[in-house]
Amino acid sequence: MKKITKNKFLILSIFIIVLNIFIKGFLVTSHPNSISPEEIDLITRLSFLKSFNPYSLRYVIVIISSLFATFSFIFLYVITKNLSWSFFSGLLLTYSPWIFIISRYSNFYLVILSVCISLFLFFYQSKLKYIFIFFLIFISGYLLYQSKIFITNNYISDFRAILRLIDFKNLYFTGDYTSSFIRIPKTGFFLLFEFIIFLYGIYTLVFEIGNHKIKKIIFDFFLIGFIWFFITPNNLIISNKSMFIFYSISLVIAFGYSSLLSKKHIYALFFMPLIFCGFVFYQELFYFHFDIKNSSDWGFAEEKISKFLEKNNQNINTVYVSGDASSFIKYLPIFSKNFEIKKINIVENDWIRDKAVIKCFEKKTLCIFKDSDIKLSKFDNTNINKQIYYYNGLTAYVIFSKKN
Amino acid sequence: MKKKVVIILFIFLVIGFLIRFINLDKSPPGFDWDERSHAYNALSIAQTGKDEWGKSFPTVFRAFGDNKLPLYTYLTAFFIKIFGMNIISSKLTAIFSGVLSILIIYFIFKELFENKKWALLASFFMVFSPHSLFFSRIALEPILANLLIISGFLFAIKFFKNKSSFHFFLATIFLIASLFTYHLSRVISPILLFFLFIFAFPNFKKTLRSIIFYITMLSVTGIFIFSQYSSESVLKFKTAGLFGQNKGTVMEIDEFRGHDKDNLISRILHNKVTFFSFALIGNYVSHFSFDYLLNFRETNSVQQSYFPPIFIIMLPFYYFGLMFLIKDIFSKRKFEEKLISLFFLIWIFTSPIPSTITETAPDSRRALGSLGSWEILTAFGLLMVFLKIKKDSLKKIFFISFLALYLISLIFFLNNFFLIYPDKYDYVYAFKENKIVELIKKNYSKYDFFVYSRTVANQPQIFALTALNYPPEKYMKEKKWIEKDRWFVINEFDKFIFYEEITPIVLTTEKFKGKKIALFLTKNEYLKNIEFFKNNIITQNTYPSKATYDTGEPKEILYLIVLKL
Repeated sequence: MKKITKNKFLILSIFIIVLNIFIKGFLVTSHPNSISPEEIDLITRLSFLKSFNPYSLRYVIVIISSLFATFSFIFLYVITKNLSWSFFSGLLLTYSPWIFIISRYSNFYLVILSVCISLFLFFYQSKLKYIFIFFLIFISGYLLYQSKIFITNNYISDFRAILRLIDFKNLYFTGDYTSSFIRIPKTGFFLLFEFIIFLYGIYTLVFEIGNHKIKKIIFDFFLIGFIWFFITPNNLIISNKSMFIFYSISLVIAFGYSSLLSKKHIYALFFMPLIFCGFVFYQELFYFHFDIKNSSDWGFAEEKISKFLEKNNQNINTVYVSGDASSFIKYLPIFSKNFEIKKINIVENDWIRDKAVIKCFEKKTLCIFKDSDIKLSKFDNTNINKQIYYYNGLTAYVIFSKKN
Repeated sequence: MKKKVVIILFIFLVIGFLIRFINLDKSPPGFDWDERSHAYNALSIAQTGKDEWGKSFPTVFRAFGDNKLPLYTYLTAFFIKIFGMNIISSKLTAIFSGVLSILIIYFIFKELFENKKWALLASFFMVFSPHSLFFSRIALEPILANLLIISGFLFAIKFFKNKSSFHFFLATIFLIASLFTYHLSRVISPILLFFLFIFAFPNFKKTLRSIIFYITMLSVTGIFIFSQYSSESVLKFKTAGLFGQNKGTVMEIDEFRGHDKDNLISRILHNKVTFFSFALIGNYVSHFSFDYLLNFRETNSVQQSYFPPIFIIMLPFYYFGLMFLIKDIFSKRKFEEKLISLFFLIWIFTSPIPSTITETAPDSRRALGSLGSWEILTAFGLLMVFLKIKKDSLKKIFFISFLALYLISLIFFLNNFFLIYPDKYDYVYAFKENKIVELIKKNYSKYDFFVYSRTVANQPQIFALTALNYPPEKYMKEKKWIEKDRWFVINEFDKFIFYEEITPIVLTTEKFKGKKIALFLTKNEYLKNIEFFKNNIITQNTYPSKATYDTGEPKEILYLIVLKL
């Protein structure tokens, strides 16, 4: 009997890791189709990463995320001996939209989440686990935000923010309501139909006697989630601010699944196709619509303009860039390695108003503006030399220079 | 015990009335077009037996073209006949509806859970319920619709308990009556009636008399329900609701299909079924969400409550109540024993539907069918938690702590409701229009014409009519109007002339020559026209709202320009 369970456990572990690598790693270098500002920050901070292709770095995050889902399954099983609950929790960490999207671009947050949770579960039997985890998340917070942790927070508004976050509508329908950066269109943090499983999970957790270990683990992660939520800055996107809370919600949903499966097979079978349809629906939304909807938050246009500068490096001596258009500069060290940043001058609105019309047309000079800057200058659209577009076709940057 | 309960209930009713009655003209800080339309039609009925369009005792009031349901107006006509037309008499129907619901909630809780003490608590919650307070103080129908629905619900559960045909009759009558109050009851009441008839069938005695009674009631109800769904109501549903062309969801489908170049997969995934289901489920669920229940969304719309349905301290007990109720449904008791709880659950889950099918969901006005269920569930949740506590001393601590926190929330709410909200949101609540009413009242005899546009005042005629209590008979004959997109547009009556927008062209007509004209303008209209009439101005005044932006600039401003052209 023991051997059968052991085999099952082994097969399920392999299944989870393979499924993770497949789902999270599939076309990871082309979807999202550009490098986000956050990835650029990470590469800039850890300068040894500069030598790698920024798209290929995403494989590292896929592996970390896959290992995290597998470790979570293994450790939860070791602690509770509840195979179905730990399996469903591993499965939820594979396909849930909140973790799927943060597993597809290089970022610190997924690393923190994976390391903290895996270590906490690994040391779960130890009495020092709380000290250990709190130390770990404070250190992580400090490394990311230095002295900003605690000071930047407004606790009352954070409390409201937490209530907003765990609101059904935001969890299952809206997704990240603070930023569209990693929001998959029409997708919540969890799949729509899991809303019912979540309610069932809560219901059984509240009304059923027993399952003390599971209840305690879920409670522990809620507590950790709240602390992380409160120590991180208010302007951090909600997907990162709430990742520990999402983990605990995943555990509740997993409990809902496992209870449903153990008591009412027929309902569980009814939900499987629904969940599968929900999964297919959001995958389509990710692969075909995410890049279009969110193109201004990612670096599609920035990468293009960097490559344009790289290509024309020899013909350019000076580049004037308006303040609003300067966000592409941090992409230059990655995509335009030969271009000298000192050629760039960031100009004020007064400069655009008074001098742009002369300076931009000097020899070997280029002006890079946003659409909104044109109103300030005395240019009309006929003066535009080149336009750089977002992936959705809207104009991102306009370039003025002397036409050949 | 019985005497004590009666005294407490009486105190609740008195407090409930007072709190709904004091400062009636200050909070909410205005009297909007729909409220005035009810009031004026009520005045017209009271004086002439006809509505403003000259139709005798209509079953639907044409009003602006929005076809208002009649019950609220008729009840208001009664108060207007006695007290004359003013803000108070126009709002008395709503006030009494709110006050009576305090009593009904007591009886519902008592019937549901057979506990008088905790029924008093539910009724206490109703006394200070933010939504009940808000909607009892505006002259609109939702609070009356809610009263009739909960009354119907009360008699329905009474019927389930004692099988009395009289209670069944009353339940049916109240629910049918609610169909004539507001559109929300056109959704909720038919569903409740449907289940009432289904559940009632096995409970009736199998005698010929009972069967005839049942069939008669069923037929009458059916006729009333089907009469509600005329082609006009269907059209209203299509245009006001989530559905129909050019609505957000339809445009979203087009956008997503555009991304995929309208291929087959795209059409399978992005269509009305998937997107509307998504929108509908999302809208529906949001009525049970923190966002709505604690009112985190800042609403900027007139006739919407700026306050949460329940206080934050009540929230966990509301959810507990709901969970215990669902648990009760799944318990192993006989179906007959669970029938009342099931019917209660049907009410709870039906009442968000009218708001769900709108684009602005959750909409506090259209979701008012839930009023009462929040209070009952909270009291029930508290009761269940209270019963789980074993020690008496802990029970006392728990109850006192809850009450203390509730009272703190209440103080904050009342301070907000009576002192902060009226100034902070005066600009939303028909500020310019209410100012126009004040100015017309003061200056009617001074000027030859009052001219203003539909930009400065939505439905401009209603403000002049109610400012002067203008004789309905006279108005019926004098008004000049046209029909535009199914709405009735009044262009002039008496000294009042209305335009889409004030421009120099409209002011250069012959009839204004040599006349003294009072012009009410928005800031935009003023700036656009100032060059034209700056030499003809006799006096000019501005009336800013109390609400201001951070810069100190008023959020709304009305210009009164007196001209002689």
